Amino acid sequence: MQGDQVRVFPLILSCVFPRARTDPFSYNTPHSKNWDRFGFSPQSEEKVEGSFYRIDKPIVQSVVNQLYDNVIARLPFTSLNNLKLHLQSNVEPSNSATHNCSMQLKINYRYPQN
Amino acid sequence: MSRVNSSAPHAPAAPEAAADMSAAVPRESLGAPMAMEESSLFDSADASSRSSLSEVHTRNVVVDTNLTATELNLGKSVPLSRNLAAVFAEGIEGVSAASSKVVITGITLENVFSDVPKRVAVSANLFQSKAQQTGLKNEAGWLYSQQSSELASEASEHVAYGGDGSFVNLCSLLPFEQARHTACAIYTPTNSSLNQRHLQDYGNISTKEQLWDGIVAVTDSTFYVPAESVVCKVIRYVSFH
Repeated sequence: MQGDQVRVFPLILSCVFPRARTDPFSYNTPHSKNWDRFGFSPQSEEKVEGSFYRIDKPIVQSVVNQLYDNVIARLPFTSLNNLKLHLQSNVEPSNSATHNCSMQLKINYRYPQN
Repeated sequence: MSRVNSSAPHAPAAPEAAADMSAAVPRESLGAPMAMEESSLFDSADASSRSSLSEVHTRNVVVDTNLTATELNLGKSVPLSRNLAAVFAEGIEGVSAASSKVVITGITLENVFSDVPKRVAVSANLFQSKAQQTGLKNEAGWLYSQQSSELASEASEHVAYGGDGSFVNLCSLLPFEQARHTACAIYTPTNSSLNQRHLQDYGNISTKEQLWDGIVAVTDSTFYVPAESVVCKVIRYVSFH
């Protein structure tokens, strides 16, 4: 398989962000296929060792890096184990005076998958 | 409660984009029509019912804490609950109490009491990294409040964070505030670049190492990539437009 390095970045971006396509060829075809542009079709490619595909390193590295940087690292997950409120006020410091703060928060949330 | 709201007037909603097939799991043949609409991952139950994403759940959480004036001046972090993951998972089918990763789709302030004679800035560590806030908008408006403590920093500087910088401001309590609010939104996230497909396809991946799972370098220029790897699925991706 020969990867066209110049076109790798817009190709992957078009996959990760379909609306942000930068490859002008995207707009000239009714169907855009990453595998078509890579010159690599997993369905027609012969598997190695039964379950592997042989893919050029730069393509794999670009897919992994861009997928992580543009999508996975940006998913706005919140860790419930560490969720805290931080309270701060410009009151006169004193260890004898105590104050009470109370609030009720309504939190809407969803899990990433069922 | 008062807020310094920095949000710009809302632009009209963009027209719904054309849908496309899922990138990660080719559930349909390459020639098949659209598989899923690209709705926001923060959409409520009405929208999520069209997809296989989990529905949006709601919990009311009361935080009641006593702090010394010194602690308040220096800033104090208070856990929402010691068993928050169990509270959030209770009664939800297929979710265990060990599931601690959620996407918060909104926070409203229901009621508040404070006997502090000065304003109290309230912030929360909703995110683990700055990257998670990239492209993330708060329809309620990110809150920029004056640095709460003169010990902390420049008193006249307005900031959108509290604590060590990992907390985002949610609200500012008035001196001696006692109020019961009605749907006072303090965090209403939207995101222009991520959608439900991303959450569904990549929600179970947290680290870059997981993307490299099973990939083996065989020569200086070639990898063996498992057929089921997300890398192959991305390359196999077909979009219709």
